[in-house]
Amino acid sequence: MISAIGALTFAAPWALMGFLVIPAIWWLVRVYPPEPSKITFPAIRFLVGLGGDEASPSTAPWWLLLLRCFIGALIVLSVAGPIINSSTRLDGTGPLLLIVDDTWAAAESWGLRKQTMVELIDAAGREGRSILLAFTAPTLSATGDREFEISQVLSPKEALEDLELAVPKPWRADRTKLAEVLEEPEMRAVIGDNAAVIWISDGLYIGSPESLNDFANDLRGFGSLSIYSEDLSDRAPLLLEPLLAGDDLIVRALGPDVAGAREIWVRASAEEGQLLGRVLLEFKPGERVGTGVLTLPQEIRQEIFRLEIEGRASAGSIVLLDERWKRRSIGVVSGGGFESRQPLLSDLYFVERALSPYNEIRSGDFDALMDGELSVLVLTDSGRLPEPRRSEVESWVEEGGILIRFAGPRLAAAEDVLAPVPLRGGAEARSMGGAMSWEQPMGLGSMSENSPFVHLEISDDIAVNRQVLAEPSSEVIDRTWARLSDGTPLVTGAQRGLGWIVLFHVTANTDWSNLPLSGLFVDMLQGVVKLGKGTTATGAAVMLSPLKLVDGFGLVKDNDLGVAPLPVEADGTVRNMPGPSHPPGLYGGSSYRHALNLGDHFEEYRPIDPLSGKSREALLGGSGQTKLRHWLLAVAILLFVIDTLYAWRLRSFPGLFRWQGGGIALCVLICASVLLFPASSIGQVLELTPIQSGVTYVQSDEFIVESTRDVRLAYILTDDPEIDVVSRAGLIGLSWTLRQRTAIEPSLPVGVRLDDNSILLYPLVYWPVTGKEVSFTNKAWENLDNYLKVGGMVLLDTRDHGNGASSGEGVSGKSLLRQLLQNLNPPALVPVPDGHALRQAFYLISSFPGRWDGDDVWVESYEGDVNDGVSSLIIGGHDWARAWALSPSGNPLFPLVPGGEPQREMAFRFGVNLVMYALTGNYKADQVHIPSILGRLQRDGTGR
Amino acid sequence: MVEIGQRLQQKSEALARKFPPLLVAAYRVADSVMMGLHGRRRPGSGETFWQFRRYEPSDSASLIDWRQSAKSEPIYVREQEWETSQSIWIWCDHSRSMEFSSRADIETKQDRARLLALSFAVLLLRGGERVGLLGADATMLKGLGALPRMAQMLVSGLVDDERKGLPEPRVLPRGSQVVLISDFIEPIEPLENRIKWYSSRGQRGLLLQVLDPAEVRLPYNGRARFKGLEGEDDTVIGHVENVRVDYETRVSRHVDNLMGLAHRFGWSFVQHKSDSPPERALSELYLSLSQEVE
Repeated sequence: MISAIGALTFAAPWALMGFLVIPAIWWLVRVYPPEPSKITFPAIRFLVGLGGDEASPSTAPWWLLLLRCFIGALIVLSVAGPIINSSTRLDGTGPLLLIVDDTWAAAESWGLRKQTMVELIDAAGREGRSILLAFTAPTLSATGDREFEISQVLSPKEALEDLELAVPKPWRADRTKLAEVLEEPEMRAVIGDNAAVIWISDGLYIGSPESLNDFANDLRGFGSLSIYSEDLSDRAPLLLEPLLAGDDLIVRALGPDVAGAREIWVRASAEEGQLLGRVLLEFKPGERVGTGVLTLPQEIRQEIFRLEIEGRASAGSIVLLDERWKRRSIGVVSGGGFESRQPLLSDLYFVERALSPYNEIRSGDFDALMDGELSVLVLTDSGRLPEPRRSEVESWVEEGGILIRFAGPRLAAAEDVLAPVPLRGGAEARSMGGAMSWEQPMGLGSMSENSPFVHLEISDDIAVNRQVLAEPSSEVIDRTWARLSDGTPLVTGAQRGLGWIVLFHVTANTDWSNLPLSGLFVDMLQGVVKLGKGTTATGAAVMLSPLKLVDGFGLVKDNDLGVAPLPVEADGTVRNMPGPSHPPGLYGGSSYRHALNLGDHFEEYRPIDPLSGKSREALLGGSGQTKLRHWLLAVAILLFVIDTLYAWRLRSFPGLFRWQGGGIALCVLICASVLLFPASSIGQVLELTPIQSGVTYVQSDEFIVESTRDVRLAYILTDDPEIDVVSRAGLIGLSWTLRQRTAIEPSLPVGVRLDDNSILLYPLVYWPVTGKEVSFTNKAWENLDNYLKVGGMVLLDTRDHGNGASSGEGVSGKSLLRQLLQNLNPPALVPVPDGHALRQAFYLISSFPGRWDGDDVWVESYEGDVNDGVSSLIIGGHDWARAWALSPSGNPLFPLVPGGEPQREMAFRFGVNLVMYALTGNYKADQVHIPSILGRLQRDGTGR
Repeated sequence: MVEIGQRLQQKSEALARKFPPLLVAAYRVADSVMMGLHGRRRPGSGETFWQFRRYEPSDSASLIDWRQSAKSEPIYVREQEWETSQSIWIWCDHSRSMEFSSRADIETKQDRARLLALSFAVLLLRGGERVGLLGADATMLKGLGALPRMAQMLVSGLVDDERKGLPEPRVLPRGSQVVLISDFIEPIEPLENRIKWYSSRGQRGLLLQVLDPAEVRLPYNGRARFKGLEGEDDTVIGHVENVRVDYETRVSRHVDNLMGLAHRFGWSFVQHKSDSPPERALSELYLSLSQEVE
């Protein structure tokens, strides 16, 4: 915008006085022209007098003069801190009144809001105005009332501090109330009527457009109003509560606007945060609500703890799920005989059809069903349950299970305690409308007030032919949930312990009534099933204490104190909106949890359209304010460098320029070779990571992560730098070989000290014995012991051609072994037996040469289950590091005795086997038995 | 004292480092020049066979070659090729102005001059001549075995010579020749005096002027401050390219003067630029000097 470029302001205008210096620069450059290039020249005698007239200082070239003045001007300008496009010219003369929507929807671009506010506050500071901050989201006062945060008159510095502390709240704004507070006389006195009122809006509202206009008008009463908001399509979407539809979860989100391309991904995750599924919401043209179907296997869907819109950070983009979305598992058992196995005749058919869209139906053996976790058990026409089962079911109900029973010939014949009401003992079921009866089939009478069916509509087309009757008593009336038109119970229910027993006085098939064919049947069953786990049925509203709370940015946190318990109505509904007293989150205890989500309550959110009346509207952060200081400074430095280079050239640094061409070519060549042949040297193959020489004692997480990101070989640092260098070179050579030949791609090796426990991070440690190990601290031995116990592996190298450790004679090996035995209690050692995994982990090798060859290598004797039979210690004296050591260019560093290069190859093979052994254990040893196993199988097969 | 000793040791080590390459290079250059050059081509006292001739009564009996004489009637005398042993005095300028090279890939005039001096000495010594260094001690050297010592003296010559631009006058044996190697950019009068001094004592000689290409062509541009190597005052020149022609004229006039000077006293003059191969200068040197001898 060209007009905007004109809006150039300075943060420190006084610095522009520095322009006075520029004439001085002009003068200086003219007086002191650039030094001539200096040339040493023997034949100067012939030059004397030749250029005499030009020997006096010449003037600097005009462009140099300009360049230097320009550099000076740039520096002065950058010190003055120019700001292009600083939109912030505040209206009015009074204080700056910042109305800030700190709601969930504002969390979305909180950074942008903050930036805008900082700019505004800066502007107020420049104009010497004081600032008032008012937040539209209510908070809770100490006494539990709602109040609004309205600041005192603040200086810019204080305002910035206040702003720093402000966070978006996970609830809605109450602008009308805020306006009322602002209208109070004492506030009005502070603000005056010529303030600059700026409303940092979240762009969403609930309620009537008039109330919004009223709010704006109220604000205009204080001065001219500017409204900052993000672009319509950038406003926060609201994730609504999902719906259950059969096996699927229908995920819905309310977009801010009808128009605009929106792509909203919703992810479902478990309580611990594992991602369970993702779904893309579709917005049909012209609709603000987008839906997506999340299809997940039953077990996984039960795990869903929350849904959230990806890439959004606000309380509105997260929905917590509680039991209401969990399908209950329902076991169904039929008491019927073989005839009931046929579809349509089966007494389970209708029950299953009615329940299965919303629940998980399990059928099968009674005992097997009871073993699993059930919320609801449906028994159709089963007579009296045999004793152990009966008490089993009874205690299950007491613990919260719901038993739904259907009547039938068997039930009618039996006397049963597992019924909500006593049934008329041994009596025949009452039949109506039959050939022998004068009564007409009975219709549905009424639903009881205190039943879960109270909201259900009664349909007329239900006809009941037979029913079982209850023994008349006072409690029958209380326990009757649905009556026939003559007042006899159709459904009775009673609480038993924490659970319920519900009896349908008809069969579950169409023998006795046509109820199972009606839609009411589905609703009734649903109503009963919903009693399960949690919802209280009658009367008792509960208070649920908060478990997890969602903050304004949509982060789920543990409850902090100070949030009151959430009242839940008897039918499981919550009257409270999410607000300061009850932030959204999860309320309840271990048995029952209720999720309070913004998406449950604020479905009628609407974007704020441009308001009628006079106000300026602007986009958040859209002022395009650019601070030019850094750019100016950068240009000045660049020009200064150019100037310096020019001066250098004058003063003739011939090398600099003569090599320029060649130097660039060389650089390009080097870069190209590095890029094209990354594997050309070892140093490049093993990429250099922060841990290089490994002597680090920092045990930060970062260090641990970095150390274990790749496989690294490790060596024990001795105090002898020469040995350390050799160890390192050796392991580099081995690492390189591993990269070349195997799937193991180790990074650079690491030196470890035994004093700290970083040794635990590495799978294999090479230990060159120096004989100084006697001076190890107890801590060191402890670490080593610990390392071996948790499955580490140490290659112990006495480096003495087997004169020590393996034959037990050498000085260093002897003392070390003694130490080892004292401190580590290793199992018995044996020379590597035939068929040991070390001989065949990768290559088949028969000896283990290093720099030397021909001596035994010792491992722990095989002890079955200890560490899976993998030896933690490998002891030998072949000085392997020297055999493996390669120079950076990949050439071996030490000669091998006696075998020369073939021996080096064998040494590398041993190294590869060793690392394989360390990483895969006895895996290869198992494979060895396969031929014999196969052979045995074959023998068995043919023998039969 | 220790410090001085160390410095001396450092210096001598630096010199010693320089010395074998110089000798090797000198051999190499000399070898390429020996090819195609011939001996004196007349009988005389020497060691190589020249011809048989009839015995004459004045000949000593010991000269008779009995084996040849036994083959036929006449009696033959064996004659050797005439080999004179000239004594040649070489002087190499060690003044500071010699320590200059305009580009990194050109050796300094000093190095080139030493190389030429030494390889010339190789040639001469191989030819049986005796060679001496002016400015060093006065001993004449004979035989190739003396070369290392000569190289040593050349390199360390700057110590003895105190970096003077002219050889000190020394009384030399009659008939010996003088080879002066320098850039000869100093004023011509002292040189003239010195040549006159030598000529009056019967010495003839040769001037080898070694110049850096930059000294001939003045390849600089723009504004430059020129600095001498021997403490001359600086000269600032605004546009070097403008004075190039004048400079070249001056230099060529100076060279003409030098040539004239040499001719006047019957000396030879050879000019050599340090960016051209040393072999060329050496063969020129050798030719002009062998002509002198003949």
